[in-house]
Amino acid sequence: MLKYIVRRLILLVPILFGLSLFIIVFVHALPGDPCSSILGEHTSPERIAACRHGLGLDKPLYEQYFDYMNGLFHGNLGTSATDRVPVLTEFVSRFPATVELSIAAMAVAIGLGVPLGIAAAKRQGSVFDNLATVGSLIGISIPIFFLGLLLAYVFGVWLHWLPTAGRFSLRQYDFSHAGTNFLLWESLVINRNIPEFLDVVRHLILPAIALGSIPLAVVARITRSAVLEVLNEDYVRTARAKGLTTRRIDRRHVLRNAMLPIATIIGLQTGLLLGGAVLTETIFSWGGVGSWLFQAAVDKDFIVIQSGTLILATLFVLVNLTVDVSYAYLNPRIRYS
Amino acid sequence: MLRLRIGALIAAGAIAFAACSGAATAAPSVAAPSAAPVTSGAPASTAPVPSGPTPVNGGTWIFGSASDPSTLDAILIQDGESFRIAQQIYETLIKLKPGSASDLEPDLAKTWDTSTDGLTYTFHLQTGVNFSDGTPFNADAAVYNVNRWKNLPAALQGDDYYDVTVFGGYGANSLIKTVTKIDDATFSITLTKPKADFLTAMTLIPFAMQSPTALQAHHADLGSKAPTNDYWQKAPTGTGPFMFSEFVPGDHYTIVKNPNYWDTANAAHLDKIIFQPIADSANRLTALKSGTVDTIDFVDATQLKDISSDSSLQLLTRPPLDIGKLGFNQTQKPFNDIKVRTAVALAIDKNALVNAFFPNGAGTVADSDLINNMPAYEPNTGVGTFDAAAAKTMLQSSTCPPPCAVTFWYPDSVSRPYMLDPQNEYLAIKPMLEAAGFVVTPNHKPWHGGYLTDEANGVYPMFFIGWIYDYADPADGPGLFYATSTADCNGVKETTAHNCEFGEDNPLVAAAMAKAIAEPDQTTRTQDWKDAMKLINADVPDVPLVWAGSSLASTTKVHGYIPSPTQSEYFNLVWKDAGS
Repeated sequence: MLKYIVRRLILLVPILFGLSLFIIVFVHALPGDPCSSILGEHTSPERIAACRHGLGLDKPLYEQYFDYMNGLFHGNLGTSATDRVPVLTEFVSRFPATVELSIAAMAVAIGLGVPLGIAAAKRQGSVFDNLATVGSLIGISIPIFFLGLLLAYVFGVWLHWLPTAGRFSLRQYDFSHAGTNFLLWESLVINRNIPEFLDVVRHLILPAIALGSIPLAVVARITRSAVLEVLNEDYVRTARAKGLTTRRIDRRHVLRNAMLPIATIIGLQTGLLLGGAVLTETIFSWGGVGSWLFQAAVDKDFIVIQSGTLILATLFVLVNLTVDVSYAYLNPRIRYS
Repeated sequence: MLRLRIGALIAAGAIAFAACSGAATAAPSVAAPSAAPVTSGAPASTAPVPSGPTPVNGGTWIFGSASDPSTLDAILIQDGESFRIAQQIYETLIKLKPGSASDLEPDLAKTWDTSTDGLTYTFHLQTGVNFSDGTPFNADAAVYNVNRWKNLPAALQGDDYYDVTVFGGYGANSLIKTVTKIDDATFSITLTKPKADFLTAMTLIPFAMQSPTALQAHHADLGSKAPTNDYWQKAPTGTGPFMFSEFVPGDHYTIVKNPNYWDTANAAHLDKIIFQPIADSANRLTALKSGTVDTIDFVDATQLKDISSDSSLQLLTRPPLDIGKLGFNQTQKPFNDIKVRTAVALAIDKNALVNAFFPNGAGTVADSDLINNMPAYEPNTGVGTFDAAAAKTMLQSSTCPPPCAVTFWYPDSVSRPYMLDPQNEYLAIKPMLEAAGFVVTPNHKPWHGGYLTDEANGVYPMFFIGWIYDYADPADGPGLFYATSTADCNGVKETTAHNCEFGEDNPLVAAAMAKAIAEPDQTTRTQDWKDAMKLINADVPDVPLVWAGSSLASTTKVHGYIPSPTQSEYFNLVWKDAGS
């Protein structure tokens, strides 16, 4: 197992090299550069040239790449051209917000999706199954921006039940002390402040539902099909013939065997969510990685795009590695070497 | 050019689819130590009295802004959100009167004198002023700051905008010749050549006074790439009524009342202000209506009616100081012919355009690069108003008779206050031009995807562009647009002075502008600009389309907010109803 993990981690190096090369070529192939964002209207060719020189954009692409990689090898992910903040500093500051939102969204997706998928499978062909199938289709099809705006309007403006922006009530609470930016953790474990914790949870509800809608639908569908497949296996039939209870069959035989595809899809979806949810973060003013990278793309902030993408790619690979490793625990028949 | 973080504005589209007069009040000044003074600033720092009930002290105000600040090292600031926060924690030597775009008031300088040659400005400073870190603001601190502008550290050069724009460069290339301490409360700045808008430019927040101790302790001069430079994120230090508290990128920026503010008559009413970035305008309005925030900025024109009809909300409108226009490059055919340019100007029904794209009073039909609230503004009667028949006749007599093929460039992936919907504005203008005999070929590029760069290099023959004035002075508008450059325009090395963007190389215009920019006497200067504008307008370098302002919306519990056309808005005047 350890050899497998080490081999996967070593494989990460050429993947990241290739990715860095692809990203820098792709980003620089896009028209424009950060200077137009920095200088604005009615600037002069001289100032554009001076700006490009200052950012090193007048160098050949290969030189820019080597300069960038040289920085990476020295632990320097670069500095934003527009905000002048080191990429790593900004990422570390924003990532906790994305992690909390991703976890909450996946909690919605798994907490509802798995039971829904199981129930639909066990009632295959029933009205409930058809409703679940149609519901998951709607979940996949409905644009997040529409769902997000709808949720914000209904529960924020109309009913005044839930907040529509930010991660906590800025008017009431102050999270400036611990500085981890993991607000659930800080409020519950460090501050031991239940009202504060509940306030953070209230702010998470709408964005988590909006962001979790698609993973929920995907998880429900995959769960349904995985459970259906297992339900038709011989060993399940055998278990029934042996007189085992339905609950025991479901727990020991059906769910355990159906978990592999479910775990795979949960891993992939979690990896995707960690990449930041541009629309959800924008709609609910969630200061995470998604809205940061979106702004960088708009400003053509090359360094932020390059380094941000590399960090996220690394995280994506690591999450999926974790999922692969979990297979062995979910199914003891799987052995890695 | 008060930069707006356009990503915030683009985000709206992505979701739909994926911002003094030296004269002030003439008053006796302390003896001028150098050249004889001709102008003197007023010593009276009058506390503006917001209308309405008696202000309530205390409370937290949550302001829904469009984005985080980009920097709070004052001299590097160029975007509106950074301006907004910096305006509350820093102070300049001179400030704009609340709500005004050009009336100067004393701030950290009680009075100031200008030498007869217009080169030396002597500032007499307020006494007993401390930065929020407890260190004193005096002539030494002022000299330190001005020298920092003049000799901007190499690691910061290029990160600034206003330093180069106002002073032309660094070190020997700076317009600032010398900075001299006269005594603890007096210092002078001597320029290399007269600059009549110098005092007005000194109201810009990039020229605010920062604590030398804080700048040094937080390694601000090492540049943004230095890991030890955490000045603006952790310790931006000024003399203002508020001071820094906390910054969580993407989430909030908090400032609190400065308990030791020197100007007790103008101390802040609010205890705390939290700026919460909400990128999309629709979401900002949702946050306002749901009570998450108290005030929002950059309200969409389409939201004005909704807000006006909501009794729990109030609309705060800034007078226009933005100009949106259709530019020409006079070096490119067929726009080298003034008749063709005039035909375009006559063909466009500006009223229809403004009614369609700037509804509910969000914009006014423009006829000049100057805004109609500027002293030097005069109606531009040169081209005349919309007249399709006259446009056609003009084109027929030009070097490009109908069908006259032209390429029309507009930007995409952008919405600016003066250009809310470029593509549809183009689509509205196209049939107007076709009716006059033009055959229009559209072309577009992303705003930050090459459009601005190409436009600055003179690549486009006809194009949408605009400007957000920093202060109401023509030197900050036409004085920049039609400035000449000896650079390489669009790959062609120019040997003589040349204006890349518009190809506006009329020597009479250049001479008239140079005279106006250098003239220290305000009355003469205003007349000089009127004369220069007549010459510029006669060349028809562009078609001014709209003068646009911007609006904020707030709950009715917020009071004392004085909207400023330059976004020089002072939050020490703001207060909220008790318990709100």
